[in-house]
Amino acid sequence: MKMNRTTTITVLGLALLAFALPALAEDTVDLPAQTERIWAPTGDVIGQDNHGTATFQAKDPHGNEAKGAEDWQLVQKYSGQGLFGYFRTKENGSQYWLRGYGDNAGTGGLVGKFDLGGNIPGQFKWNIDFRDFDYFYDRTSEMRAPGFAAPPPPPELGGLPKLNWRRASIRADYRLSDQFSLVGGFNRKCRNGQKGSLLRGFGNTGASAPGTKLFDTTTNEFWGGVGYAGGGFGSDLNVSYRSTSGTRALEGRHNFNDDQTRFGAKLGLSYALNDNFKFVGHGATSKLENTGWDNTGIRTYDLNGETTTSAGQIGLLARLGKSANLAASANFRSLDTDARTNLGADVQQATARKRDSQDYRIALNYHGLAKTRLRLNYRYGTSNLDQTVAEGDIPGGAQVGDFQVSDQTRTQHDFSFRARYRVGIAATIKAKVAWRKQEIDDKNPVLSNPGNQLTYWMGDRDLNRYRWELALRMRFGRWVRFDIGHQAIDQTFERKEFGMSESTWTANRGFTNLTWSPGGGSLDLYGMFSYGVEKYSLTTDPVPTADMNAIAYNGSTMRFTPGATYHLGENLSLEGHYEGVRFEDTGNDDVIKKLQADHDRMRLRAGYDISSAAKVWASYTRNEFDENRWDDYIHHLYSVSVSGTF
Amino acid sequence: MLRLILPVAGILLLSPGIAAGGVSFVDAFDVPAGAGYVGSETCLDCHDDVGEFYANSPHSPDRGLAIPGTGIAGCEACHGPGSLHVEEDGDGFIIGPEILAGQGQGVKVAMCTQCHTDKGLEWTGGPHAGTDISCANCHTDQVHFAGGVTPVSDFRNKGEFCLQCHPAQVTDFRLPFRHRVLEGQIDCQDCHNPHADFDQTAWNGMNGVCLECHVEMEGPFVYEHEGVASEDCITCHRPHGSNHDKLLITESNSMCLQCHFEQGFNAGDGWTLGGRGHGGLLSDEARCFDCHTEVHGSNTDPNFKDQ
Repeated sequence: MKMNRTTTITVLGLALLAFALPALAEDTVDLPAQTERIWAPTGDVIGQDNHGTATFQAKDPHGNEAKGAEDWQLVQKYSGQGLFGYFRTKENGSQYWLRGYGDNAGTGGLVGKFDLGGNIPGQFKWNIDFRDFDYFYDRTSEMRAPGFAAPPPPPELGGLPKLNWRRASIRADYRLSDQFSLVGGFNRKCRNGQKGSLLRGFGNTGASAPGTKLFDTTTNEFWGGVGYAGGGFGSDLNVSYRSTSGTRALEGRHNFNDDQTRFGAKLGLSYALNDNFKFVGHGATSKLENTGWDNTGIRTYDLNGETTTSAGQIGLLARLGKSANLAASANFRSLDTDARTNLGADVQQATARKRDSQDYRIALNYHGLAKTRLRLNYRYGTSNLDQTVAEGDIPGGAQVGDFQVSDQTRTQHDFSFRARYRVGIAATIKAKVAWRKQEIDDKNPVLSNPGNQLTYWMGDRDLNRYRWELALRMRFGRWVRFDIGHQAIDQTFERKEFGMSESTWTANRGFTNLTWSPGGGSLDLYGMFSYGVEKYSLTTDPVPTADMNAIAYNGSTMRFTPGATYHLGENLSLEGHYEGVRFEDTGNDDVIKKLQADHDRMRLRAGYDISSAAKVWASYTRNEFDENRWDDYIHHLYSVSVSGTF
Repeated sequence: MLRLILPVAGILLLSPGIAAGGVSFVDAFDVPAGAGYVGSETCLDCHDDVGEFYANSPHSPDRGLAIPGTGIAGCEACHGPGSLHVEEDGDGFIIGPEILAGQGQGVKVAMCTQCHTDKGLEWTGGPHAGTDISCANCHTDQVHFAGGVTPVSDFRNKGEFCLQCHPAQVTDFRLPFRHRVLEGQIDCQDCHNPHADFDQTAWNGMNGVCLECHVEMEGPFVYEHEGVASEDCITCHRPHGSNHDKLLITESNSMCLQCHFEQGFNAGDGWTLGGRGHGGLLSDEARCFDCHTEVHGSNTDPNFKDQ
C-alpha cells in the first residue's frame, strides 16, 4: 500500500481538526452538509399540496450546439416546461395522486414523466409510472490524440443523433388476508433512434466522423408474486417473464435481430427463531434464450443460445447481546450456457460453458463502546469456469471443428472495516478501509489444432486493491455545518504469464462542504469543493508514437459550487449559484497535448410571492463548456415561471 | 441444482415450528404487568397533534389498521399497551420516544415490519442493514417521530431524496457524462433497492442491474468478454458519472490496457498483444474498439471484431 504525500497531509489535517474544533460546537450531528441544488428547475421541491409550475424559456446559443444538446438536451430556441402534482384523500382513507413534469426543449415534442397511483391503506396499492425522454449525441467522437489537440474540428455527422427511451411500469399490491398478499406488475422499455458511438464509421479510424448505432427494440416483462407472513415465518414466491425483440444495427453494416426471452422464479424464506436469531434463504432459477440472427454484412447467422441459472442463498442474522449483531450467509450460483450460430443447417460457432461459484460472507456490527460504531465485513468467494468454444460444433456434436477448452479458477477475499466515533457533541469521525485480493488460475487452453487458438488467453493473474476513506463532520452552533474528507484507491493488477506485466490504478479525492444557514435569517450561504486525481499506468511506461492515442492516463477533476439565497422581506427571494467543473488529462503529455475541459454553470433566480398560493419567478442560467479541442459552447437561458398551489 | 435444493429444503424443515417461534415488536420490551390496550382515541385525547399529523396518512388511527393477526391497532401497535400510561397521567409505562431512540436498528425496523411483513424479508440483506439507518430515517413523511431529511414526496424526482445522505454521488452526477438522475430521468431506485442488496441470486450479481435496461449485452454469447461475464460492468464503466463518453473509467486505449497490457508492448516490439503486432493498427489515432467493436460479447468472432 502506497501512502503518498496528499494522503498524509489529509490525515494529519483531519486529526488536528477533530481534536481542536469540537470545543466550539454546540449542536448535534445530523445529515451531511448540503449545497444548494443548482440543477433543480423552478418549483422543484413540491410537497404534497396540489401544485403546478409553468415555465417559458428562451435560449441564446453560441458555439457547438450539438455538444450542448448532448450535455443538456436543449435544442429548441424557445421552449416550455411544466410540473404538477394532484393529491386526493377520500373519506375512507384511500388516496390517489398524479404528478409529473415535461418539456419540449429537445425536438419540440413533449417529453417527460408522470406517476399515477393510489391506495386503500392496509389493503391495496397501485402505481403507474411512465417516462419518455430523448438523448442527443455529439456529432464528433470524443478522443484525445495529437491530431485532435485543437481546432479545426474533425469530420462530423450530418445530423444530430437522437435516441428515445420510453419506459412504463405498472405495479399492484393486494393484501388478501393478514397472512397472504399478492403483487404483480408489467414493465416495458422501448428504445428507438440513433446513438452516437465511440468507434468511427466503417473501416475508418482517426480523423473520421463517428459511427452510430441504430436501435428499435422493445422489452416487455410480466411479473407476479405471492407472499406469506405469519408468526416468525415469512416467505415470498415471485415469477417473471421477459421478452426482448427488435432490431439493432452498427453503422448499417452489422445488423442484429433480437429475440430474447427470460423466465425466472425466486423463492424467499425467513424464519425468526426468537428475538435474537433469524434465518433467511433464497432460491432462484432462470432460463435465458436468444434465438435472433446476426448479419455481419456478409452472412446472416441464426443464433441459438441458452443460459440456465440456479442460485441459492442461506443466511443467519443474530443479535449477540445488546451491543453486537452478526450476519452470515452462503451463496451458490451455477450458470450453464449452450450457444450456437448456424448458417442454414451448418453449425459455425458453438460453446458449452459452465460457471459455478460460491461465496461466504460475514458481517459483524458492534456498538458497545461509548460514542463508537464498528463494522467488520469479510467475504470469501470461489468460482470455476469450464468452457469449450469451437469453430463448428463442440465435441460430441455432428460437425466438430477446431475447438479450445479452458479451465479457470478464481478465489477472492474482500475485507472491510468501518468505524465511526463521535467526538464531543458535534463532531464525528468516520473511517473505512477495504482490501480485495483476487487470484485467478487460468490454465493454458487445450487446443484441438495447436495453430488455431480461438480466444485470447489472459493467463494467471492477481489483483490487490485497497480503498480507504476518512471523513470528519462538524456542526458549529445551529448555523454552520462543515464536512471534510478524503478517499483513496490503490490497485495493482499483475499478469504472471507475461513477464509479470503490471498495471496500477491510484486515485485520491478530497472534499469539503460548508454551509452557513442561520435559519429564519435572511441570508444562507453554501459552498462545496472537491478535488480528485486519478492515474492509470503500466509497468514499463510505454510511450505512444506521435500518431497514436494516449496509453497512460493522469486525470484530475475539480468541482467548486458556491451559492447563496437571500430573502428580502417576506415576499422576495434571490438566489445565486455557480458551479465549476475542471477536468485535465496529462497522461502521455510529453507526446500528446494535454486535455483541458471546463464546465462553468451559473444561475441567478428571483422569486416573488404574489399571494400565499402563487409565486412568479425569473431566472438567468449560463452554461459554458470550454475545452482545448473543438466542442466549445455557451448557452444563455432566460426563463419566467409561475407556480401555484391549490 | 443440488446446491439449490438442499438449503431450501433445510429451511422448509425448520418452518413447522413457526407457530411457537412467532415474535412481535412489543415482545422485545419489558411490558409492565397489568398494562392493557386502551385504543387510539384515548391516546389522541392528549396527543391531538399526532392525530393531525396522520390525518391524510395511511397510518391515521382512524383507519383502524391492526398488526396482522393481533387486532392491536393505532398508536399502541408501536408504543405498546397504554392503560398504565393513562392512569399515571402520561408519565411512562409505554414504549416512548426516549426508549425507542435508544434501540438498535433491528428493533426499530421490527416496529415497522410487524405490519409491513414483505419488507422484513428484503431488509435483512440490504445496504442499510447493520447501519444506524432504519425505516423512519427515510420514510419521514409516514411517521410522526422522524426528522432531519426532506421527505421523498417533496422532490420532483425520487432519486434526489437519497442524495441528502450521499452527497458524494452528486459530484458524479454533475460530470459531463452521467446517468441523468438529477434531471429526473432515472431514479436511484432504478438500480438500487434501498431495502435489499444487489440480488445475489440474479444472473450475474450486480451486472443484473445494468442488464435490465441494456438487455442486448446479456447474451448469451458464444464468445463472452470475461471482463463483463466474470467481472462487473463497473470494471470499465462508472455508472454514476464520468469525464469520458459512455461512462468509461478512462479515455481510449488506456482503459483496455489496464487488463490486456503485456510486457513488451512498445514500439520496439511492434506493439504486440495476444501474439499479434498492433503497430499499424494503432496508428492513425485508432482505438481498440475501432476494430474490436463487439466488446461486450460476440456470436461470430472470438476476438470481438466486426465480421
